[in-house]
Amino acid sequence: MDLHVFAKVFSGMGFANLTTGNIVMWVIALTFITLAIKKEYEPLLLVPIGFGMLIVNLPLTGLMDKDGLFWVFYHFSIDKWDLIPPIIFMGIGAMTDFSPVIANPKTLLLGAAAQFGVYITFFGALFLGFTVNEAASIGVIGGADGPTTIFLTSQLAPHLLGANSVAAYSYMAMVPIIQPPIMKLLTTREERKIRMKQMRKVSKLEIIGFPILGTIIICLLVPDAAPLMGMLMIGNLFKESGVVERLSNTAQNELINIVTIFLGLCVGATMPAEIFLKPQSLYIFVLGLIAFSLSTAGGLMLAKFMNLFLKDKINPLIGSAGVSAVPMAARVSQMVARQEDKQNFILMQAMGPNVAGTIGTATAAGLFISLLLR
Amino acid sequence: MIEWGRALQVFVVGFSGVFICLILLQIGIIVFSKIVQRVERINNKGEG
Repeated sequence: MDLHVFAKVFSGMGFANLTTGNIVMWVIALTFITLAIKKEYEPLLLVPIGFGMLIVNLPLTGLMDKDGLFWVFYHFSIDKWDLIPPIIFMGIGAMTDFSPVIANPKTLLLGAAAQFGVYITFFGALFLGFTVNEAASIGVIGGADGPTTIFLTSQLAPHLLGANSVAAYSYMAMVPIIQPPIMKLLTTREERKIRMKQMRKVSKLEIIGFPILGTIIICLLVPDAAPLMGMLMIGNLFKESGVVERLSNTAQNELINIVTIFLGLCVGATMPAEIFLKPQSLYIFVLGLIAFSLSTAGGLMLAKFMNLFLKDKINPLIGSAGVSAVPMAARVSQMVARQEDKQNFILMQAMGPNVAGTIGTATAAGLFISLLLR
Repeated sequence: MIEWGRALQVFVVGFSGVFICLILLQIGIIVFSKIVQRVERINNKGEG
C-alpha cells in the first residue's frame, strides 16, 4: 500500500498548513463575535466581520483566491465597482431626518469642524511612515463613518481595508466611552448647562427640497463626493417625498441589510494573518483613536468659538456630535447635558451637527479623491 | 520619503474645502428656506 497517499491527503488539510498567525486571528475574530453578541457592540457589522475574519484564516479554503466565493463578493462589490458604501449611504439617507440641519443651518459648520481630526491624523500617519494615500484613508477614520472609510480606503489604500474598517466601526461602537471624558475636559459646567431654543418648525417643501439642493451644491463643488452624497440624498428623497414608501422601506430595511451582510463578510475576509498582523495595524488603531478624539474636540471647540459671537448661545456639547456616528453621538451629547441638568433636552439640536457630519465626511472623502487620484 | 509639499496641499485645500462646501450649503439652505417661507406666506394670504 502506498503510504504517500496519506501524506498527500494530510498535506492537503488545513491542519497541516495552520500557522500561529492564523490562530491569533481566530482569537481576534472570536473576540469580535463575543463583543458583538454579548455586549451588543455594533453587532450588525462585527458578527459578519468576525466570522469573515475567522473563515479566511482557515488555510487552503481558497475563499479569497481569485474566483473564490469571498473574492467574488469583495472584487465586484468593493474592489472593482465600490458599490457597497454608496448603497449603504442610500439606506442611511432613507433613515435620516435632516430637519435639524434645515432648522439651524449653522450646525453644518460643526459637522465641518469635526473633520479636524481627519486632517491632523493625516499628518500623524505621514510621520509614522505611511504614504500620502494611506494617511488619507487612515485619517478619515476620524469622521466615524464606516461606509465613507471603506469607500475611500478601497480607492486609496485597499490593502488597509480590513484594519481601517475594523478601527472605524470599533470606535463608532465606543462613542459613549470615548467622547464623554473629552467633552467634560473641554467644556465648563456652565457651558454644559446651556439650554437651547426650541427648533423652528420646518415645512414639508423645505424637507423635500433639501436633498435636491444638497446634491446640486455639493456635487457641483466636489464631483468626486457624488457617489456618497448622491446616494445619501436619493435615499432621503425616497423618505421625505412620501410617494415612494416601498422604495424607502426597501432602502432602509432589506437592501441595507443585504449589503451589510456582504460588507461585513468582505471586510473580514480582507484580514488574513499575513496582512493584518503587522505593526501597521496597531498604528492604524492608535491613529484612528487619535483621529476620532480630535474630531470630537474640533466640533466642541468650534461650538465654543461660535458662542463668542452668538446672541443665542449653543450648548457646546452638540459640537461633539459633529462626528457622523448617527444617532449615537447625538445621544451622548444629550446624556452628558442631562448629567448637569436633568431638564436640559438637546437631542434634536445635537442631531443637526450629527447628520451634518455625515455630509462633512463624505465631502472630505470626495476632496481626498480629487486631490490624490485625479 | 514624505512628500511634505503634497501633504500640506492636501491638508490646506482639503480642510478648507470642507468648510467652504458646507458654508455654501448653509447659504443655499438659508436662501431656499427664506424663499419657501415667503411663498407659503403669500399662498396663505391668498387663501385667507
